Amino acid sequence: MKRVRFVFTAVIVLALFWALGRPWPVAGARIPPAGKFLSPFAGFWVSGRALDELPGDLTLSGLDGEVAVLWDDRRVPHIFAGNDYDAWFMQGWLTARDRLWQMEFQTDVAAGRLAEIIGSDGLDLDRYHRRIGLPLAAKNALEATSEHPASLTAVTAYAAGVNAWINSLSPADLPLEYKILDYSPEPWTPIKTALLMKSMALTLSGNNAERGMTLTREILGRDASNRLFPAHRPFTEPIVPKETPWAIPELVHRVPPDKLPTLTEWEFTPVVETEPKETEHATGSNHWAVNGSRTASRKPILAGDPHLPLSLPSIWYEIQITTPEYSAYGVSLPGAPGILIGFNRDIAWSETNGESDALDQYLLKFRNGDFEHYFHDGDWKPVSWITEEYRVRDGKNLKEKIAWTHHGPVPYLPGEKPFSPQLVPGAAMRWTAHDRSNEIRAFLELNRASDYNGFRSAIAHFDNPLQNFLFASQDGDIAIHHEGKLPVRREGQGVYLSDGTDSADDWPGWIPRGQMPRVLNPSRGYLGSANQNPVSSSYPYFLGNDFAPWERSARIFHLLDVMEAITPERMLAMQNDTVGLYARKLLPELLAALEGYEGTEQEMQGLKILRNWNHAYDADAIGPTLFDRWQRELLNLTWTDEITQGGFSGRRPKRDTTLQLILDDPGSAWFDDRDTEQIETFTDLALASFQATVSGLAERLGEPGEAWRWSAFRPSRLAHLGRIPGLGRTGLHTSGQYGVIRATTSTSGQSWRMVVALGEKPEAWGLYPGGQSGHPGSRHYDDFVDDWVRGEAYPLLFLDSPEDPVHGLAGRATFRGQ
Amino acid sequence: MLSIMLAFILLYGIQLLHPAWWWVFLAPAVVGAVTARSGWSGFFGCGLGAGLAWSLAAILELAGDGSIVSGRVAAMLQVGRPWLLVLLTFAVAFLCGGFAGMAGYYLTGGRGKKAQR
Repeated sequence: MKRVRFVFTAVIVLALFWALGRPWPVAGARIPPAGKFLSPFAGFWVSGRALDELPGDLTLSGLDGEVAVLWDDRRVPHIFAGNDYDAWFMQGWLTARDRLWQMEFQTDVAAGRLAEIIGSDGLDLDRYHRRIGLPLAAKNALEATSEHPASLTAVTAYAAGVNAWINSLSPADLPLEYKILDYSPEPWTPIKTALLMKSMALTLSGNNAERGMTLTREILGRDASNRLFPAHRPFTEPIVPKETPWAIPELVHRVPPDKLPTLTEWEFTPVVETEPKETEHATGSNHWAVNGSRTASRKPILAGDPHLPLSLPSIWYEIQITTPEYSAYGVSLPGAPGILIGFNRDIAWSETNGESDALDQYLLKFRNGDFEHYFHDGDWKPVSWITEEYRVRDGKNLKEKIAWTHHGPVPYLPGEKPFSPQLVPGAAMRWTAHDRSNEIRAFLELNRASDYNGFRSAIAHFDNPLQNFLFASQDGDIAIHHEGKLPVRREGQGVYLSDGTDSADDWPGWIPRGQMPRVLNPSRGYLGSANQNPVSSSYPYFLGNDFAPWERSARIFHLLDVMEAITPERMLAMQNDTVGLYARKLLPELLAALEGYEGTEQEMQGLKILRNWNHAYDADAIGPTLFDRWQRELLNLTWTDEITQGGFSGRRPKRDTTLQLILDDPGSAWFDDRDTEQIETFTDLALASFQATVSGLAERLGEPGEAWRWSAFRPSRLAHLGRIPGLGRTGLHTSGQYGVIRATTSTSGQSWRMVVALGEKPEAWGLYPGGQSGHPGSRHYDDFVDDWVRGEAYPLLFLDSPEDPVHGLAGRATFRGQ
Repeated sequence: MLSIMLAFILLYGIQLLHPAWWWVFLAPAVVGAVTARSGWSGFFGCGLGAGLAWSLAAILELAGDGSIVSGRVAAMLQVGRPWLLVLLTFAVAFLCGGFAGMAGYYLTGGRGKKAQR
C-alpha cells in the first residue's frame, strides 16, 4: 500500500515540478514559471539584490591593460583606457552590466527570432523581419565592417566585453526579464551589433508610403495627387538656404513609357480596404547650431534632441570614453561600440533623420503561380530563393522560402497578407539598407574627429539610414550634411509603386557624396534641421516627397533669427518650446469662420478658451485639446469623402497642404462634401467640425475641466521594451506635440536632449527619459523620467582624467587584464 | 515540529549555497523520509518548513533590495500589493515541500508510527 502511495505522491511531485517549472499561457499572456520565478533564492526576489552597488577593482579576462572607470552621481560611467580595444571592451562590459536583456532582446527581434522566446505569438513579426531581409542586411554590413580593421576590432572587443559580463552571471543573477520570459542569454557576437544597426535603419528609413500614394493616384488622378503631395511642402524653409548655388551638371534620366502601374491591374495583387490614416510623422528630431557671431561666449553652441519611440529601458546609454587619442561623451546604443550623439574636446555633433527616400517597392509580373520567374526588360528572369527556419518555442518549427529578385526581396507573394500594410503583396523591395555598409566606422571616426575635415571624412562612411549630421567645433565652424546613400531618381520616381518589369524604374546609380546637400558656416550664423526637406526645388536631384512639415524647423529658425548673445540656457529653454505654428496659422482662420456664431453653452465656452489660447501645447492648457480635435475633425471632413472610393482608401493629404488651401482658396472644391447636394466651403466645414469636436469631447470627458487639459487628454507613456505590463511608466503629464519643438506624442518624444557649448573645455547638458540601469528592480531604472517630464536637463560631467578632482562621484574602480 | 524545523533549516541552508529552485522538493523529501511519522505529518511538517523558509527569504528581500522589483512584479501580475507575493511564495513552497515530504515518508516509512502510551 505504501508503495502505491509513494508512486501516487511521487507523480504529484513530478507534476508540480513540471507545471511550476514552465511558463503558462493565461488570458493571452504568458505567466512566468511559478516555481522558478517565485523562488526567493534564484527567482525575481533576488533581481533587485545589489543592483545599485557599483563594482570595485576587478580582474577581467580579455582586457589588454588597465582601465579606470568612474561613475558620476547619475551612474554614467567614464572610461579611461590605455588603448581602443580596452575602451570598447569596457564599453561592452559596462553596457551589458546595465542593459544586457535590452541588448539581446532588440537584436533577437531584429534577427527574426522572437518566436524562440515567446512562442508562436512572435512568428508574424519574425517572418516580417526575415522577409524584408533584415538578417541578410546585417550579414552584409558585418562583412563590410570586417574589411576595416579598426571597426572589426571595435565590434569584437565590444563583444568580448559583453561576454565577459555574461560569463560572470549565474542563473540567479540574470536580469528580471529573462526570469519572466524564462530563457537565458547566449554569447554576444558582432552580428548582433550589425542587427541592432539594421533595426535602427528599419525604424528610421523603413517607412514607405508608395502603396497609399498609388491608391490615392488611382482615386484622385495623377495631377491632383501630385499637387496634393508636393515634394517641396508649403511654408518650408529648407535646411540648405534657398540661395545656395549647386555646381551640378544637368541630369539626364531615362524616362519609361507613360504607363502607370496600378494596384488593380496586376494579376495577383488584391486590393485591401483600409481607413485613411493620419499621415504626419509621429516621430522626428530637431537640432541646431549657432556660431560665435551669435553667442555670448563667441564660441559655437550645438543643441540636439532626437525624437523616437520611447521605452524603458531607454534606447540610449550615456557614457564617456577616453583613450590616449581622444575623449568623447554622449549617448550610445546599447549593443554598439562608440557614441552616436555627443561631443569631444573639439567638436560636437547630433543627427536628425534625413527622411529622404531609401526604399522603393516594385510591382512584379510573375510568369505563373509558381513564382519561379518574373518579367523584366522583355525576359523572364529566375527568382532566387532563400530558406529561413524559425524555431518556435513550445510549438512547431517552421521552414519557408523567401523570393529574391535583382531588386531585392519579395516580402509577401501575391495572395499573402502582409504584416505591414505598407507592403504590397507581389512587390519586390529595393532598400539601401540591404547594401554593404559600415556605419560603425562613421561613428568611431566621428568620436575622435577634431575639426570639420575630420567630421566630413567620418560621416562619408555613413550610408543608411540617411541622416542630417550637424556639426560645431571650437574652431568656430558649424556645418550640416544630409549624408547617406541615395539613388539618382527622376522627378517623382519612387513616390508611387515602381514598375518592376522595366529597368527604366531601376536605380541607375548613386548621388555622388560630394553633391549631397550640405552647408558650412552660413552667413546667417546658424543652422538647423527638423526632418524637413533639406533643399529647395533648385537642387537637381529628387530626394523624395515625405519630409516633415515646416512647423518645427520654422519655429527653430525664427527663434534663432531673433536671438542675440545666445547662451546654453536659452538653447535649453528652446528645446522646451511648445508653440505650434500650425495652430498659430490655422486657428485664426477657424475662429474667423465662426465669427458671430451663437452655439450651445459648451461651444461658447470652448470658443472662449480657444480665443485666449497662446498656441502653446502646455500640459495644463485646454486649448491644445480643443484645437487638436478640431483640426482632426476638419481634416476628416475635408478629405475622407475625396480619398475613399470603391471600398478602399488612399492617403489623406497632409495638414500643411490643407492649411494652404484654407489660406489661398477657402472656396475650393476639395471642401465640398461629395455626399450632399449643397456645395460646402471651408466655413461650413469649420462649423461642422467645431460642433463635432465639442460634442465629442463633452460626451467623452464631461464638462470642460481637468479631463480636458492637454496632458490628461493625451498623457505620454514609456512602455516596457518587451511590452511587459508593470515595467513601464504611464500617465506622464507632458507638454508638447509632434508639430512643436518639444515634439511629444503619447508614445514618442525627445529621446535625448543635449546642449553643448564649445570652448576651451566643452560644457554640456543632457537628459533622456529613463535611467542608466535597464534593471526594473534598480533605483536607476527610471530616475530621469520625472525630470524629463518637467523639461529639465542635467549638467554633463566631462572628465579630463581619472584623477580629476570631482565631488559626488558614485564609484571608482580599476579593471585589469588577466 | 521536528519536520518543520528540519525542513526549514535544511532548505534555507542548502539554498544559500545552491539557489536552484528544485531544492524545494529535494530538501523536504529528505526530511520527510527521515523524520515523518505519517504521510500527512510529512505533508504538513515539510510543507510548513519549506513555506516558512521561502517566505522568510522573500520577506528579507522585500525589506531590502527587492522592494522595487517586488512592486513592479506585483503590478505585472496584477496582485496589488507586494506582500501578497510573499503569500504566493509561501503557497508554492508549501505545496512543493508538502508533497515531497509526503513522498519521502512513503518511500522510507520515516521514523515509523509513534509508540502507544
